Amino acid sequence: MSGTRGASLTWSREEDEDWAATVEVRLVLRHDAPDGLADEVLAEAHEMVAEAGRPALEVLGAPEEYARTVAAERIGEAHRARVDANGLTPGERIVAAQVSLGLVGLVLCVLDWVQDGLWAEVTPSGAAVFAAIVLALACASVAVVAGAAGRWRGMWGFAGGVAAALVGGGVLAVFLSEERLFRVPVPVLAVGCVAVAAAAAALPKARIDRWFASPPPAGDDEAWLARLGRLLRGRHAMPAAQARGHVREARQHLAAAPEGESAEDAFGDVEVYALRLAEGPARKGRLARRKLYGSGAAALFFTVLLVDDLIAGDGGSPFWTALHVAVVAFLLWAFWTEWRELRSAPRPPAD
Amino acid sequence: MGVMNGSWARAALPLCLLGILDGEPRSYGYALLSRLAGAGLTGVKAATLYPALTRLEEEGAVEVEWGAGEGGPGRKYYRITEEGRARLRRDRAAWGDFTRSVASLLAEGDA
Repeated sequence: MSGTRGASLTWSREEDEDWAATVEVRLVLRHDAPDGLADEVLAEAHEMVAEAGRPALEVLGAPEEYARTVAAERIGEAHRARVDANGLTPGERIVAAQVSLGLVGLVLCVLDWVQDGLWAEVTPSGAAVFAAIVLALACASVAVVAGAAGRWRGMWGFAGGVAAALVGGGVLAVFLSEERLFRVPVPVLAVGCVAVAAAAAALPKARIDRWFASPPPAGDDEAWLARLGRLLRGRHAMPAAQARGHVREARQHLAAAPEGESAEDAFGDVEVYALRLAEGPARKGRLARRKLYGSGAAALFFTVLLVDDLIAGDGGSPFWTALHVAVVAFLLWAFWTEWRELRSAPRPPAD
Repeated sequence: MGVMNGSWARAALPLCLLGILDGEPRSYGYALLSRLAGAGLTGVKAATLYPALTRLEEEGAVEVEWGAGEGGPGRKYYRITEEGRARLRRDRAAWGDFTRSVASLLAEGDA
């Protein structure tokens, strides 16, 4: 079905339009619906409502409940098993991170242009630090995705890349000259950032997904069980003790099962099985807790930087200080909101 | 007993598990699977059983305790809670109504 089908529907009542919008938003944002499903569902709903001649709410019920029912019936486990808490596959997440990196660079270029004028000076040490930061951020984003997909060897490899980039950049910054090499117009740098974002958007998401989803070697139960534990902890934010409990129980089952039954025979696809174990009512709380930790770490990091900046009082630009304060305020607000959300979520069982 | 439709068995699984656990002090995954298969619910596999038990645990219907395994890794035992017993009573009554409704419709079809 075409992606425009849902968008081209005309609802006869304003309340039906609101109903349809709520269903669409819920399906896409809360239930991670695959491309096209929301359009398909809304087209069917439109037909039913038109035939009944009554409001969508009366014919099909509350939009939140309708979206939940559709999600349960029509979004396959195989799809849900491969997406993270934000509904993105590893390939989509990596592409989104690299595109964001390019766009953040673009914004910083524009701000620098407004603040410091058209020309930027390039020094060998400055270029080294800049390259190191970009490389470290790119590696960090891939490390996070690899960790979430249960690919811990890859995660540690890219985390090592972050450390190497930062150390290498620091060493080069000390030894390289700080004399000006040349000047470059800031818009040229901005165009470079746009090119990075465009190149990232063209990355082969499906191929990246296949690499992250490759199953453990056939018949290797230990590899299967290890992957299960990593998926539960990485993708589904399960506490280590609880994830170990599930792995231990699976191992116990295999020990009791007839000889020759492998983990894959008994439990099926490891990503789908991890999803089934993690889909209970405690899922929301686990994901909210992880989000809270991320926001807390970011808020702490930027607050420390801000306090250090204010104490040093080295006469930095008031614009950048104001921007810094705004970022800290936003992160603290996000932390507060997520903390309240976590308090309202069901608690996971003690294991 | 004939082989039950797999999706029916999955839908009724939480109720069946609570029913079995209500009659025993405690039990573990493999033994529960054997009981289900022995009763004719051969459509239930380990891939479905353990997630169902996990969900019952998260819903507070069963509680978990670890005990010694027989020459293998430690064994995870499940025990029904008071909340689970209350749910079992409710669901058993609802299941009775449901099966009676289906049976009456099927009887109409036969007549």
